[in-house]
Amino acid sequence: MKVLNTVGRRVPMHDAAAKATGQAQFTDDLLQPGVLWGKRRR
Amino acid sequence: MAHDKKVIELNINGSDYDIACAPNTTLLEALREKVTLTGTKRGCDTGACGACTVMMDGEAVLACLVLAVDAEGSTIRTIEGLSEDGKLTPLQESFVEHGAIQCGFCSPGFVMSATELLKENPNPGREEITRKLSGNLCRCTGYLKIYDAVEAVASDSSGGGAE
Repeated sequence: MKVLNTVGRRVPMHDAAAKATGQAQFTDDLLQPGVLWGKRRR
Repeated sequence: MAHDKKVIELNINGSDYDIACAPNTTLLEALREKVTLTGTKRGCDTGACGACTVMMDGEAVLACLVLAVDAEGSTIRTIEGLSEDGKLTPLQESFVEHGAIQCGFCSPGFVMSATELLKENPNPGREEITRKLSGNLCRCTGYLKIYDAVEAVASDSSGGGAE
């Protein structure tokens, strides 16, 4: 049987550090000053 | 109706800012929208979830409940200002190691609250940890791992060395 590289091991979440330091960008974080929220089409 | 904006001075993470704010601008809006420090999250915007927890003059506050004009002249520390040179604090390391981070939206708030707790009491017990963090909600419900992460740092510091 092949040796498993991942199964049964603890693998660090690749983006956990970014989330712990506030660097991770969520959708609501992409808004910048002056952003266009929407436009009405008549 | 237009409100006159007021320029307020804030020291945020060691840098001085002059920020023009309307009277009803919250500290959270000032941080996220004027200074674009988006690590501080807007969860409920009503003081219920703790996602917007920041340090104001060394004390943890909910940024959504503080008017920016009331923060005038204060020193603010946000999640972006905790780690130095991109190096995680022992608490942040512990969050990563213990799988205390899932979607990550509540993490900045939890980290700030726990940071304040460990500053007040470097070696809190489980009950003190849960009570202190009771104002922070995690919708992924990863509470136990979060408490484990804080507890591990507490015992680490009593042992006198970083892992």
